[in-house]
Amino acid sequence: MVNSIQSQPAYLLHSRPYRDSSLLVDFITQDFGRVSAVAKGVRNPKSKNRAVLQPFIPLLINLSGKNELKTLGQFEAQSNSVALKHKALFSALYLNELIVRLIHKQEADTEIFSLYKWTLSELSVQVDIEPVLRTFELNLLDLLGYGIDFSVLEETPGDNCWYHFHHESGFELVDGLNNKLEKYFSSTALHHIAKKNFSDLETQKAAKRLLRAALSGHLGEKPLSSRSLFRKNIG
Amino acid sequence: MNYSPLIDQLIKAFQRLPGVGPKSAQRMVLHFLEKDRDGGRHLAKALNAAIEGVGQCQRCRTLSEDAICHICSDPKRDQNLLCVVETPADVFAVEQSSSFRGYYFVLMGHLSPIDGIGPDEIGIRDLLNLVRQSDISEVILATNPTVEGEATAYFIAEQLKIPELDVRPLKVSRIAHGIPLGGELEYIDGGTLLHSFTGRQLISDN
Repeated sequence: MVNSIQSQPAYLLHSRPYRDSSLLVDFITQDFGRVSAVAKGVRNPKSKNRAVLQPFIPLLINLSGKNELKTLGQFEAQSNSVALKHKALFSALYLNELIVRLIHKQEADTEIFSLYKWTLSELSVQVDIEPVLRTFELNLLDLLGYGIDFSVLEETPGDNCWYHFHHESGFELVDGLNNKLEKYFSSTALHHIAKKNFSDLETQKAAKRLLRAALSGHLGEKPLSSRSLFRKNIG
Repeated sequence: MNYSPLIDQLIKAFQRLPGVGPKSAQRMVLHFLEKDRDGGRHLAKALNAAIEGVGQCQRCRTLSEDAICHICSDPKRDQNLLCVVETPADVFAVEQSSSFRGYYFVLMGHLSPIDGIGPDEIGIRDLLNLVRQSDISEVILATNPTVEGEATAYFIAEQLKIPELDVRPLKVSRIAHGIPLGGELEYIDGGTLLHSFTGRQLISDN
């Protein structure tokens, strides 16, 4: 990675306080993947730019330094943040958590950046956020090389058969007796998911279960805490 | 130069304070040892008493040495208003402005999934119980205008829609954000300006 990066499109994924007046920031950048940097002096009361250093605002950033931990130079917002409220905001936080957990630092992939950008703008305009999230998850797995292989569906023996899914071995044809279980999916739903057609509710539910199973294999033991934001009536 | 072990240990201890580096820590330690031993004893006592004695208020979760803090136990305050803030320092800031005469609830943080901070860590259940068991008619969400603070506010607003609360009207409001007093539009960031326009107030309607 080069020592100095100028005007790089980026989004802030996460920040945490560092020393008295600085932040440790985590970006997803267009050309250099995930990058961590020190943002010096931004927590100083006189710092005018602090408001811009928030997630979901398209930024242009300058970075310098030879080590993995860069120093953030000038930065500015390209435009205002996308308007995210309620569930759309929780979903966007979920995207950030997924990216931080799944993408290694400096694993450069321009397409992941575009996918992230597209998903944020979709979340701000779509009423139904579930299809947006499922599309993001499917595409992200593909881009990371963990894509779900739907090719087995081409040999489906009949209209209504059932498959068991495992994140490593993929789909396996089973008899329909256990179809109430978590990791069993109907061929009809899977056909829709493969085409990213989430128009009916049954497909949406199946897609949620399928992607949860696929993602959990790569996320490890620790659960995603942004899921708790969607819990209803916790008290 | 190396100090003797006791002095060295104290210098290191002072360095745990935010904003105190090795140089300032050394100055503070030498000040106490050379010039103000009484002050040093007083600091040690006060520090120890506070560390041992201060816990959290059972009602609002702010820092307090009493089981119920002095604000929560003050009957003269407005029983109908509850202000939700992130930290005890925020309580102090609002109190100083004397703009609010109700009660508080301190989250001791904000929702931050990447740091593993979820609803359980910021005491949402305690907040819901407090709302259920009291005469509160308006909850003012005064979390910071950051992405995490906004998410926390939305989350609390959602949770306050619990069915049992329907027996009485409950307003949930969010503090306004916009241009600071004495600010100049020219130097304000776009996001803040946008907020100040969407949250504008009518001053005349002829």
